[in-house]
Amino acid sequence: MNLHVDLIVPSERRSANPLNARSAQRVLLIVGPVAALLLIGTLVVGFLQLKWELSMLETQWSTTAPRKTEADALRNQVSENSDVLAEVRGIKASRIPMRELVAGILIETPPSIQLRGLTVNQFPTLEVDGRLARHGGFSAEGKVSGAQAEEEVSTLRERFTQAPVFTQLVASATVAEYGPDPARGAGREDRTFRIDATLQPRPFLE
Amino acid sequence: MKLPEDKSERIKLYALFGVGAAFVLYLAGMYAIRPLQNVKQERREKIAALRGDLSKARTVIKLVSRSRRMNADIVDEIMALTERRHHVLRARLGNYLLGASELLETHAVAAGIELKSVTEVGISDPPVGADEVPSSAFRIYTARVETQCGLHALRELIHKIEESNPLIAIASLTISGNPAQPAIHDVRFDIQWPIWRDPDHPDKIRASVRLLEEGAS
Repeated sequence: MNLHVDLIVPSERRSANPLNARSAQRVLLIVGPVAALLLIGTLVVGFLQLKWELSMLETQWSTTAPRKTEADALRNQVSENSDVLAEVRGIKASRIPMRELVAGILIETPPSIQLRGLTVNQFPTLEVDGRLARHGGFSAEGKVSGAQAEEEVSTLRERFTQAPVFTQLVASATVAEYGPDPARGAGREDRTFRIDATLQPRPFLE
Repeated sequence: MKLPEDKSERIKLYALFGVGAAFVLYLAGMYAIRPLQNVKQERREKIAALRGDLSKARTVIKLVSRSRRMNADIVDEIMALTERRHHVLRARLGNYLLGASELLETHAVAAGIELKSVTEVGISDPPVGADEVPSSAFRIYTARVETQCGLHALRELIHKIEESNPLIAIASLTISGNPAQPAIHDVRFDIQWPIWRDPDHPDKIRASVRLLEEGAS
């Protein structure tokens, strides 16, 4: 014969687990909403803090922006005026001194050579790199007589490049024409010549 | 609320709560937290941009007084080089030739030369690249001078012209011998002045400097 004794009814049974469902339920009911509230609170506070910071910076910007606009306008003005000044300085620095050049040509031409004509020119032009520079040249026509005529013309060409007055001015010089004087009544040893010289370019900007 | 006595019923209820809570959390995330985070992110970006702009602006503003002084110095130098001694040719009675002729005549008289003629060649622009618009503040005015004189007098005239104005350039010079009078030569030269592209430019920059000085005081 079997004997079955129920000491406790099922509703009175308790789990041996220290975390039972009922207490977990109670903890969750408190911790859940508190955590949710904390999360929402943190979000809202952060949101409001950013809003406040943004509004403060916007206020600062509203007072700073007009001053910055003025400062920018001033900077543009400085830049425009600097360009104008650079241009004026460039015009001044690039000029080929005509007095020096003409005086040099006349001084370096010996009395045995008669200059019949002189053409000098200078003109602004764009370099390959796009920068503006003043270029120029001169052309001296003359007459020379005697057995040393050719040598004298050659020496004059050399002087046009090597004399101290020309070293900073003339880049090259060539005898472009040389031959008997075609003028009626010219002597057998009379020669006419033309020396063409190229001046050193002078940039507008240093 | 009393939980069901039955364990399986209770588990079902917990599961139902769990699903409900997860759904509520999902909805909160989708419709409240995520938009809020987006707005926060936007604000953060705005704040960073504003901070950057403010920092740049403060740097620029700090330099204002220096820029103002620099501008005044630059304008002073421009005026000294162009206006104070009429180095940039100004139109008189609507043309440039009057002023140019008067200046040349003054120098010619001082050099003992009588000018045969002073004529206008024209106004040109400094060269620019093929696809560029002239941006220079200046244009070039050219006048042609013809005379007969000795070489010494000519050197004197060129010296006086160049010395009086560092911006002037003798663009071309032709000296031809005169067989009838060996000491006197036929001389022709083209002389170039810078002229303002906008004739009011100097007045405008002077006015702007005055305006800045008034603003500063």
